[in-house]
Amino acid sequence: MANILVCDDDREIVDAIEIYLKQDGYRIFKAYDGEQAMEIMKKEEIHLLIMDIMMPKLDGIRATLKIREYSSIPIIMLSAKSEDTDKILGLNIGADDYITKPFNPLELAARVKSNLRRYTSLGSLNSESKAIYQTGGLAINDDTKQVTVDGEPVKMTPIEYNILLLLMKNQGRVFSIDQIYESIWNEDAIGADNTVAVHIRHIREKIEINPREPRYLKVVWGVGYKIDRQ
Amino acid sequence: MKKPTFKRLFLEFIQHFLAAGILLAVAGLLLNSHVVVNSIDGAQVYKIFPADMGVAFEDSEIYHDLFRNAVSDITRLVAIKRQLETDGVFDPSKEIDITACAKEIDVDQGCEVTAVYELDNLIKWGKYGVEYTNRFLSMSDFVNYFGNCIYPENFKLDEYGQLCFDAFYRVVDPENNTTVQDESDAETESDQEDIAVQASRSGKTAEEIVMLSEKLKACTQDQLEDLVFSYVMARQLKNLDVSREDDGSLVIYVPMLNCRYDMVNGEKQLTACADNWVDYILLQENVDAVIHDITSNYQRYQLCNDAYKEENSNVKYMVRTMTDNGISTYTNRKDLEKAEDDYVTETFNEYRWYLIYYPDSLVFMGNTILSEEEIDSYINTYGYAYPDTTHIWMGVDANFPIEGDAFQSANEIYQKIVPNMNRILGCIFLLGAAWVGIGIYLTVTAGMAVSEKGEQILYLNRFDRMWTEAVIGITALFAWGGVYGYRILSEMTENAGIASELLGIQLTKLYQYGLFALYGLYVSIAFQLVWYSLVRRIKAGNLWQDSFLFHFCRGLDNSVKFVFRHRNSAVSTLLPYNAFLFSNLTGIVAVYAMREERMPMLLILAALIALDSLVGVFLFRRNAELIEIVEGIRKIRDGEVEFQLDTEALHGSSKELADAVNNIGEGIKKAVSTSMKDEQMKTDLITNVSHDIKTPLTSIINYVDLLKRLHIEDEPAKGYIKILDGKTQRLKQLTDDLVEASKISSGNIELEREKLNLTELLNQGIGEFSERMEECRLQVVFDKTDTPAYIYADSRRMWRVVENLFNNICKYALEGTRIYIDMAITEGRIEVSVKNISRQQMNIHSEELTERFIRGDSSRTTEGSGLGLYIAKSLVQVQGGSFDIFLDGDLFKTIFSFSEYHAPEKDITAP
Repeated sequence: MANILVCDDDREIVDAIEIYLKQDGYRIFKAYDGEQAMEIMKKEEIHLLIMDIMMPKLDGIRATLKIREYSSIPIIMLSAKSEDTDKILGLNIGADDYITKPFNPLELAARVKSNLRRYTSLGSLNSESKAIYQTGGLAINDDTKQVTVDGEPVKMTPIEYNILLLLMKNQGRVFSIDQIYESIWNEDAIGADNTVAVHIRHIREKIEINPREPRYLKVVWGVGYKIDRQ
Repeated sequence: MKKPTFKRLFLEFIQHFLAAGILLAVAGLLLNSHVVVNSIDGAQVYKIFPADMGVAFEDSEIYHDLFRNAVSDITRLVAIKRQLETDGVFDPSKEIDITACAKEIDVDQGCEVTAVYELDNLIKWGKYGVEYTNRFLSMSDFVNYFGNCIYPENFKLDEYGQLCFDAFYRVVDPENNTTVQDESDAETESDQEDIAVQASRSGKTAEEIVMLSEKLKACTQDQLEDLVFSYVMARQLKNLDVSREDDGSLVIYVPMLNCRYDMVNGEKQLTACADNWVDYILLQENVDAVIHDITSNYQRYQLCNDAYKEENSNVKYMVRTMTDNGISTYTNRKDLEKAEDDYVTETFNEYRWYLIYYPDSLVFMGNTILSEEEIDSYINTYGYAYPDTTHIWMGVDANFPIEGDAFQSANEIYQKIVPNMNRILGCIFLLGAAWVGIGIYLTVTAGMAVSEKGEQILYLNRFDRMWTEAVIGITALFAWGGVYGYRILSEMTENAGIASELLGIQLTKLYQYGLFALYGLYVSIAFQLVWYSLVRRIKAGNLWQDSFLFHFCRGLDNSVKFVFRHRNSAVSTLLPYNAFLFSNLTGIVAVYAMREERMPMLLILAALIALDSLVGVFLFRRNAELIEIVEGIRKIRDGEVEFQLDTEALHGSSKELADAVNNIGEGIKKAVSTSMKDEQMKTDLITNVSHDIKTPLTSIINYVDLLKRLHIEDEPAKGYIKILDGKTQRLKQLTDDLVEASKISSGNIELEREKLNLTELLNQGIGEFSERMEECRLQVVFDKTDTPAYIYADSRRMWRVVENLFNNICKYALEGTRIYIDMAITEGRIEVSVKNISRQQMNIHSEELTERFIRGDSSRTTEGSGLGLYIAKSLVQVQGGSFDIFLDGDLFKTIFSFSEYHAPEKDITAP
């Protein structure tokens, strides 16, 4: 079972997180400032770190920098700072994920799970088959027509599958609604309306932890949709 | 307002109609009451005077006029007959003595020679025209033109004992002279005799002649010729001209008559009749005058002689003259030609109207209005033809037995017109009264209308609002037209009966009546236009206010006040300007005055140029500096508050101005930075507060969630937890929106603009919201454009706009209704309108909806922060679009628009 260190100066939040994660079977270590977290990191074998940014003594950013000097465990930043600049800073200095407060506990649990899976099974998913397309934790196998997110299979309708396959095959490229419609339905795009958009949303709901902040299937507003290479 | 337009138009029409009628009646009167008479000076029109009404024709003015005309014609005719006729018939070969004739017509100036021509030659000559040939003679040639005149007899001594020319007593033709010398001495004797005769003509004694010849010998030929020339010039003959040549000699210019016809004695040139210039030129003038007189008399004779023949005229006359040459009688009563005077008198006495005049015995009988003085004045004009022994009889046959003559036709018309005159005049009067009556009524009611409330109000039409001066101008134009028309009409009336034409159109009677009626219409319409407008103006009291003069005065008043208000500017600008002008003018005048003296003029000119260029440089600098300052102000206006003008380079008032502008700029800079700092602080505060809220909120959310997972069976507790859950979610949304809104309002957002397809965005949005819409049973009807609608905007911000809008719809739209999204591209602008039916009644103003913290219901109980529309609007505006909300009952309509994006085509979706 994985060991998770939760570090936040707000004890109630730490306790709540503990409750949620214990339910999933993790072992929780608690710290209330950066220094405590550093100490626990030295004593215990920690597999994942959840850390607040604004903390007394040693803040989350500096703590992360120090930890990154000797460890490559997944670090999830948990902060009330919701600005883009804060997120970018956090991710740049070594965090693997960034969750803004107030957060959905279920989302946090899912992200923890996802990060752990990737950390533990990193590289093992590599496949020689040309029919397998992969980005981050998302993989699609065109031979078996199977889609997996962080190793877990996801059920898709044929149209959803085809759309996802199209985007996965052409990672990084933006497809407009019309282009998607024409290549999936093999019809002229006139009257396509929002069918594609609805399907995309369904796909997102299936493969994303938080569909409103998608990691894989991203909406380029006013242009189209894309899946980035990770 | 109810204007009695039709009534007025009708009345005005009637008025014009009446005016035309009046003029037609006048035309009827004027065009018919005249008679045309061929008098000696051409056709003449005589009119029936309205004053003659009720008077018999013989007592009327027209009758008297005709009689006077007849007397005048006959006296002249008789004089002409005497000149042109022999024994009562025209005699072409009658011999005319020029000088005698000239004396008769009183043009002779003492010509001592004469020439005799046949009458028809003179008439032909006159018809052909009199021509002259110009001769230029030297003085010697001039003096000797008619032969040598340097003889002692021709000279005399004046009262100072000086030799001078006396007269041309002896002139010897040089040719004759030579022949005399060539011939024998026998001739010399007669020559001597001739000299003696001439000497006696001069009235000089032999001693005097000897003395004069002594004197003559003492003089040179030139001097003597000079004396002769002085004599000729002293007579001041017409057309003779002298000019002095460059070498000092005199040239005399003489116009000499081209003699067309031979004289009776066979000679052709007039020079043959004269032996000196004085006589020649006088004779020449006489010939000219006589030719003109006879020619014009001949024309009158032809015109008049027939008209007064016995069988053509009701006027009878007889003129008898007793001279030394016997009795000559001119008459158109052949039967009386040989009768005794007394019998003639008796006969003429029988005429209804007669006149008998014996100037010699002072007998003047007659019952016409012609007085003795009047007939004397006619006769005296031709005094030569009427010696005192003349007897004149004239009479008019009152029965007018001869048809077609002046009296008979005048009588006919008179009998026709005069009895009807009263009726026509009455008719004119009646029409005129009606015209005036309508005019008064229209004047009183002009400009009056009845308003909706039934009150009497004044109104003005467009014509009444023109400048008063313009109306005066138009009036003057009308008046000019009226006068011009009157002139045409009166001329037409004057010449009534004589064929006349206007603009090349032969005026028949119908045309003439038409012109009269047209004139009536014109006067009436012009009057209506001007007068009623004037009345309306006076009634409305805008006669003065609407005048150009008023505006001009007001403008003048304003400018004077303006100058007074800016006394300082006037002193600092106008005074130097005037001084500049004055100095320039003075300079120009001075330069002109000193144009003779080179040096001072150049100095003044140089000073002037220097001064002018100085002023020019000054003006240029001032203007340039002003433009610089304006440029600076513009920069500050456009947000470049850091901008500072370089005051070192400026001068005078510009410097002051620049300093002020710099101060303003600094002030703005300070204000802007303060306000930006404030806004930044506010945003920071809100951001920090929201952070501080978020941390406890996280705990609340988490523990509420944990509570939910406890599977509490207690119903009220379950309900409470649900409420807690909802409110915490709302609190979370609120803090996010709050930060967003404060960032937008402080301008603290960075836009990442790119080309994006609004249609795509809306489709994506509809897709995202499809589930929620279905939950609320809302159907989206999207009418999109066929072409991609590209705009240049921040895609995430645009999504936020659409998201907020759709969120709003999901929250507030009535279930089971349709949402209409229409998209249109017009004139490079993409407009999207979103319409839905509101679930609740909107008790709010559409503008307020986009203010912060406003929601469709003022009770604030439903979900949402109330910032959605505010954020949407702010985001659209920040990106250069427009965002408007319209409420129409329950219809909630949002319209936002962007300008279409045309950029270098760079399709990011292309492979």
